[in-house]
Amino acid sequence: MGTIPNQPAPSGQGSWVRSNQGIAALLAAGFVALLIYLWMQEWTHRELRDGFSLGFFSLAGAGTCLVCALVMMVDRQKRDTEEDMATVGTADWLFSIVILGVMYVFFEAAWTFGFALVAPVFLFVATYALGGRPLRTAAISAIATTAGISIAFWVIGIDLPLPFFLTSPGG
Amino acid sequence: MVNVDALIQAFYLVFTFETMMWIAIGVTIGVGVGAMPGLTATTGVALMLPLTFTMGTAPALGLLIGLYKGAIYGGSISAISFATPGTSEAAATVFDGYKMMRTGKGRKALLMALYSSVTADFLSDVITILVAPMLALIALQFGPSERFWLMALAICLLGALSGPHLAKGMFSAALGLFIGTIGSDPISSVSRNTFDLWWLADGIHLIPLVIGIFAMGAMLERAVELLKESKQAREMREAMQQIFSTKGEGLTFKEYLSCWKEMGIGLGVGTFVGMLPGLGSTVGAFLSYSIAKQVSPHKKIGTGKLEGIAAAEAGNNATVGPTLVPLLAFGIPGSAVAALIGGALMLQGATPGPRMFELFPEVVYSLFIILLIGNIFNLGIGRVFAFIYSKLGELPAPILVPMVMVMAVIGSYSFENNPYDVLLMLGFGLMGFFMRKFKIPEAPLIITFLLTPVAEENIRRGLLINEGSWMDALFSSPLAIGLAIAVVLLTWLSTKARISERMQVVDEDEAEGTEFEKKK
Repeated sequence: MGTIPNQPAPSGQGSWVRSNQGIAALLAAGFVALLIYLWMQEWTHRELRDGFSLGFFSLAGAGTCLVCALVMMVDRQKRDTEEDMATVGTADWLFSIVILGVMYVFFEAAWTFGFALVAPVFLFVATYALGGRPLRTAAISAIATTAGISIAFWVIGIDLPLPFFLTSPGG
Repeated sequence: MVNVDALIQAFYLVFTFETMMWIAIGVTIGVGVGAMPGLTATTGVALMLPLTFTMGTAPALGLLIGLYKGAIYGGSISAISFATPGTSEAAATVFDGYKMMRTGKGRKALLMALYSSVTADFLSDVITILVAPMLALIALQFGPSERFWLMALAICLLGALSGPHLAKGMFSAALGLFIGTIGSDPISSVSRNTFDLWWLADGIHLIPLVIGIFAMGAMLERAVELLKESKQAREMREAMQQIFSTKGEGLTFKEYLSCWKEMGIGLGVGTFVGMLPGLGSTVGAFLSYSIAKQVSPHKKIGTGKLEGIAAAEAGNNATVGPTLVPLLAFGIPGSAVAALIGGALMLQGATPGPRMFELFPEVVYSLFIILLIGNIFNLGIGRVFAFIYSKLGELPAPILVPMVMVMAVIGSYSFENNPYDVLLMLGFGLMGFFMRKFKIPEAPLIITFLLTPVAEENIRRGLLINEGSWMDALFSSPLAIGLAIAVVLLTWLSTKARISERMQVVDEDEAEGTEFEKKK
């Protein structure tokens, strides 16, 4: 089931922050800020024609999140640290954000210069960066994947952007 | 009563070359997705969801249901071949399957997994077809307050049963509720909760949300792991793959029949578990396996026996059809995949729920037929290609991860040609990554996200009918009061009895057993 048994928080700097209680405290702080923001919005208190408050469900959602975070801070598992949380480092979070940024750059590039041009280059670099070896395998898989995705989307009638030199100006 | 005209129309919709082709493609992709460690049925369905809006209803359902069925079975292939379950549902199959593999009976184990999966899946689909319309008839009698409390009960069940930590399950559900309110209110379409961003005025779309949470979140996690993966782990995997080359004997009909009891347990447990929101196929597999082990101690399940594979595989595949029962009967998805299938139906203009039987009977019948036909494709494709699929477990993650990420970007954008959907998907990817690391279950979020507008609509309709009186709107009938009491009782019970933690104990005990065996 992929469940990781809970374990005591590892000793050392920052171990409390990684525990259920620590993460829940951060979540609670975030949701307190969100609730204050929501409360200060004019639309939250606006009454609709049926007498219903427009912000009721938004407040209920954010409020329940806050209550759950507070419960996590005091319940039986408060001192436990999830195994994955214990091992994830700042570099992992930064790496995740960089990957997401790169994906957005890929999206912009593919829709500017053409999917067939950008995708093989991106896939080759990404495969290699993630440890795909040898180079020939990375290159072949990049080209094959691009071709496979292009054909699959063409079959279902979704047009992927053509290379820029094949599109007419303004088209 | 069966609507004969609609049934005939459904046959015309399903028995076309296009629908059959998409069922076959769905099963083919699904078995592959299941066989590849790191990809799950939910990831596969989430990635394929954007493709369905250009299709007709029957081909769209064929693709998604075929993929779902294929993926649940496909997980057993890598579980048996390399002791690496492709999906969590197949983790219980490792106990006996991998031991049989090591003793040269891998082929027999793979065939038993296929036959027990298809048998239980088919029979549970028949139960689904019988039960869903009856429950829908009952659900049609419900008013707004009963529907509201039913949804509240489903959300509580999801929170309580989705993971070992009740507060995290409920947190996920509440987050889904909050995200579901972004955009505009469902009755008067007044803009709200948009953080003053014009592009949020239309709300959060299901596709970027599910692709971000399930596909991008999982791939981010895998990408980070790849950087940490040790040389030792690679060597171990290579050693496991060498074992696969061992030729084994096939499965006889007598051996298949000898597991009728375990398949029956799997069918019963899987069908029941599948109908309850929040539990899913993993619990179905482990519960079925544990019960089979206790019922027949003389069979020594767990020491490399066909009966163990039959119980686990029947238990997980038997949840596939029944997980759609709450969706069809009450409009409440019982699992993340059911939510995605519900989303696909909504994209096609057919909102799932009891009224679907009246408004779109041909769609319901098409779905039922596809559920049954999907098993035949699963049997055929699984039987012919199982041994090729087992090689998919060797597909290197450095190739798989960028491939899925590219598909996630294209899928999010092509839904409405909106670049903001890509941005949202990437944002939800980071949220999915955090949820995975902090062990917050994702399914309650998606399901509550889908239920929020319906719940709001019902409570507000109740208020309108009762001239603004909350008491009358919420407690308009004995059934509504009963359901409200059930919500309170369930919340209290799940806190006191720690139901979700108890559900995990079975998994953890068994998982520890496997680790021990592997070390030996």
